[in-house]
Amino acid sequence: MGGPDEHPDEGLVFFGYVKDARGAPIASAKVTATMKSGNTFIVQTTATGLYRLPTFSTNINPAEVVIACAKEGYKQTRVIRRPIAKANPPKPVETECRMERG
Amino acid sequence: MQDGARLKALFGFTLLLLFCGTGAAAELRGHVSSREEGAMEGVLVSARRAGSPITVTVVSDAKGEFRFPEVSLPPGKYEYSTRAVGYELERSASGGDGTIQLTLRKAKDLAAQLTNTEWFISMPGTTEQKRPLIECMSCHTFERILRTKHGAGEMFEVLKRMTTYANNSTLQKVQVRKVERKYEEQNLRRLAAYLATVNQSSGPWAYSLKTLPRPSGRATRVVITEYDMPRKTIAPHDVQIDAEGMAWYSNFVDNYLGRLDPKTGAHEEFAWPAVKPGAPTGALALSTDRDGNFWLAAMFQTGVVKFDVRKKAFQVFRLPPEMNTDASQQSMVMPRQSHVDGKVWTNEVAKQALMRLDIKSGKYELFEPFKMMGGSHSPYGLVADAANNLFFMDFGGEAIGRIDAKTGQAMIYPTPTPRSRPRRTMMDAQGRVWFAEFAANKVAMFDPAKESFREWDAPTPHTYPYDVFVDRNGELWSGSMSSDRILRFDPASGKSLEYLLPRQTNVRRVFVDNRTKPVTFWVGSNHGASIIRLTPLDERLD
Repeated sequence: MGGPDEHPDEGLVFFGYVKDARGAPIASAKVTATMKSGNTFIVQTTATGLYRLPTFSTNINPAEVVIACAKEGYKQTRVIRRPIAKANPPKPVETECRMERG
Repeated sequence: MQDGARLKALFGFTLLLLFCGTGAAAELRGHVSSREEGAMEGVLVSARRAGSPITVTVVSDAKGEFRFPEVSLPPGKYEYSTRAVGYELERSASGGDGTIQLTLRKAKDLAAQLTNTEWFISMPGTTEQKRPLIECMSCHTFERILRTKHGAGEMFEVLKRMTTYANNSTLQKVQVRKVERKYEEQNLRRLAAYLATVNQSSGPWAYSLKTLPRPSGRATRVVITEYDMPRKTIAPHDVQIDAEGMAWYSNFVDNYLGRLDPKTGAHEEFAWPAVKPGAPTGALALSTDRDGNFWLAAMFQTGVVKFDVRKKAFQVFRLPPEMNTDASQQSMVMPRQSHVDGKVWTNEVAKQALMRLDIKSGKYELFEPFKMMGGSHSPYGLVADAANNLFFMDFGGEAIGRIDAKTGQAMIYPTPTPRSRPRRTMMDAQGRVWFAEFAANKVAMFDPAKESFREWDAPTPHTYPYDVFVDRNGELWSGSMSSDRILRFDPASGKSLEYLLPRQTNVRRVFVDNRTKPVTFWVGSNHGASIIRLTPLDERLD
């Protein structure tokens, strides 16, 4: 009783797409979200290039979470953060990561 | 509940005495049938010699025939029992040729025979309504809940009382926590209201009781040996076999490390000292270091405990006062690679954190990968790689994590399936991390080299695997906390089968002895005060 299933997820979700220079999705890319503490969350993109990072506390300033992407044969070119809307509960934070071959 | 029903609930089958003098060389065999089905496949037939703590079980084949291997049953007087859901033993008789004829009849009280998985599939309600019940089955079966006549208000009071009990409680030994578990009143009220719709508060159950199929085919090719503990209160949690073939276990509710000699049934206990008087007693994880010494995670007693197998002496590593609160709880310990850097990993459930003990100084360091993260997290199953970097399961959430031994930095890898609640884990020779996704009904593998996951569904819904062990053939062994079934699975071919255990068994940590041929599977019956050995007759699933 009183276990984790008593507490449904709340808080910030980070999500977005990893795309190539032409805007095509990149599957199985590694996406990292690094916090100020140095602790890092790591996920891979789906077949449509989508990633989703589970809930972060609302105490965390999303601007301090650094999103990066990587895949063999690619290098990261841009990270585009959509404007962060202030809302309660917080809205998901969308960040797109662009890579090109090389 | 009447005594008869209670007895059946406890054993899951009926008992009947038959005295049989088997000759030394005679093989004990027989046939099982019922009026309804004729010859019956998949009936578990158990034999126990009068006065012995050892019960041997075999399973009938498609012709209804069963036989006990010659070596498993010494001559003597035997007591027989069966397990076949929906049926009970009506009579047994000796055939003219020395065989045993067992006749089953329809069970008078089917509800007393259901596993928690069968209750899950029988009860009406949504997945979300049923989901909180996976906490209840850590301590007892659902039959106990569903026979009550409580309305929602009374049920809420019962649930509130449940939050005062320690995780390491059994029906035989209930332990009260020093600090209540946190709970959300509205969630508890919601669960109470749901339970009042599926219990007997409005009269007999308005839903039909569904059952899982009996074992068939290769799932009948098995011999199961149960060793009863000398006291009903003993709760074997983690079991493992040492180089001499001895079975060692952690006792979840008392400060003992236990040892069983499977050859003779001899049992010995080694008491470790009380660390925190007045707190619940007992240990959860049992793990070995390279030298074969045993380490225990001391739960609410706090800290970790080492047992030197040569000196037969304990050493307690206490938490320092500033880290030790009434809520402190160490459920896991990982000494496997402590020879590399003199460090042993453990967890601090009260802080959603990990700790690392320096053996020489006795000092603990705290690691908080989820600090400021919010949400539900709880580092649980632990395993260390060759450099003593730690891999941990986030049982409260949906990720596995790695803590770098040198930098202390954490990497968190969410599992492909959300809300998976990874539980216990092991590492194979290639450094891959195998683990059970308890709430996702899956077993999974994380490859640190590729930073990628693979997941496999358990074949039966509501299995709730607690742990997984990969054997020398690359086959996976796992156990259900709810269906009394042991899952054997080949990740290469996707083939699987489930062996049914003879009694209600709250399966926790699983262990495979790779030195036997075929391999031998071991598990503790945490609620049933026994240690179980399962010997498959087939070396491989294929």
